[in-house]
Amino acid sequence: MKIWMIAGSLTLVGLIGATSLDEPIASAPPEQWTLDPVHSTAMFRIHHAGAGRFWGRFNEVTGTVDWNRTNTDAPNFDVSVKADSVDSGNEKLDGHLKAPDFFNAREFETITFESEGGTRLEDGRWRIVGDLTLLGVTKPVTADVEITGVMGSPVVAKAGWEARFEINRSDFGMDWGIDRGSLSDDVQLIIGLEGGIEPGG
Amino acid sequence: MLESILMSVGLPALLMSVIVTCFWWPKAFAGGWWGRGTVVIVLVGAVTVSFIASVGLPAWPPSQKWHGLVWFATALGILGLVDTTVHRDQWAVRMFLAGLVGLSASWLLKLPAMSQLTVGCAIGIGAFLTAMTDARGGRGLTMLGWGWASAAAISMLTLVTGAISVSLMAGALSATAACVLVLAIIFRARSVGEIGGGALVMGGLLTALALTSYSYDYDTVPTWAWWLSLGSIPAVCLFEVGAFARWQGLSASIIRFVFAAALPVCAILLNWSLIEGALSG
Repeated sequence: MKIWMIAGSLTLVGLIGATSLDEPIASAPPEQWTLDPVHSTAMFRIHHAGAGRFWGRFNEVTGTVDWNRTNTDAPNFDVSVKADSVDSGNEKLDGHLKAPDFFNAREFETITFESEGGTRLEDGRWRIVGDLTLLGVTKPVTADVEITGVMGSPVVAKAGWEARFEINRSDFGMDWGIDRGSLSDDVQLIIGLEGGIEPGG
Repeated sequence: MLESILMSVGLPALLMSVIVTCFWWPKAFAGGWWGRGTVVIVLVGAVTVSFIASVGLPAWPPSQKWHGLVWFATALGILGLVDTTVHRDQWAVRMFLAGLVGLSASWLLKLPAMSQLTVGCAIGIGAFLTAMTDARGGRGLTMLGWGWASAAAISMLTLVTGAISVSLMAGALSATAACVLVLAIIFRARSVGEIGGGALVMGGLLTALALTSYSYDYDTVPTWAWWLSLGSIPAVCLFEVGAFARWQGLSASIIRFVFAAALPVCAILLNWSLIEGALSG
């Protein structure tokens, strides 16, 4: 009798276990990944004087990503970039970029991106839709996101994402140099993020 | 950058010079209200055209705080035109108008990390002090001279902060003041020597431009340099006290100009290494 009870219990556990392997793929709650500001960056690329492509970056990127590594749902991003952390590699140019003509960092301290889901393109790649707020103007943007890696250990789990999207900066009221052709209107943004989950997080 | 300077400094100064010429050349306008009002129109016009050339038509409400500069300039222009009708001795009316300048500044020009009270008081005081120098005749040419120097200093210091559009607006004001000064000498426009309103506008615009640049700066320019760039305003007021006030004539105008312009020129010279760096960037 005891043997049958144990066998019956194991079968029940097995059945529940089997069910839990199939079901959570669609319904598992997202895990919240806190972005690592040291290993996250936001880069932008703009056409300068109709000639070269110029790169700049923001050094202070913070936020969270809601994503469950066991399912295929698109991650949800809540990313904040400090506008005065803009870094072009040239101090004088940084001054101009922080000034009212460009990012107006005194008035608009952060640039934010909040996504609202998206569609799966292939394994580990999604097209997400979200709101970008720049210079106090919020516009919907579409970004292609890929997972660049997931590392799990008993101590901490880490994951990386890379998002690419293109905007017309004039949509946000950043017009300097467009009419004279010194800087292009379209800007490509590449956001490299790394987030972690601490034990118990 | 050269194209920006031509469009946002050269073009406004050229347009305003044409306007001045049109109003001062015909003798019918020479001594009338339009002769004096022209100075107000061109000073405000220079800043406005420069803004439009750099940024485009201003939106209401302003999409960015500093865009309020152009709306404030418009209000200042209206008050400046009213001021041209005020008699020299009606200092209480001038004080009232300067108060309205301060009020309009606190409403229209909101600056980051600066209270509306500070903005209104600073710009109102700047406008009041310069307007009081208008209370006596023969100050128009001097005002254009020190206004040119002060606006040039603000323009150069603002260039260091990276706020190029604001720098070009101050540059347009400076270039226009210089052009009007030259045209006044060419046309021997006595009315310019007796202007009222031009100084109220000059004081209001200079203080507003300096305050805007200061509020957006990341400590790249020392605070004392901004004070020096506006030093012309209290300096020219000193010449309205006691025996100095009765001092008239060309020599008095030249001394007033040299003394008042010396402070902004010092602001430029003492920060030349910073300005040179910004100009070469």
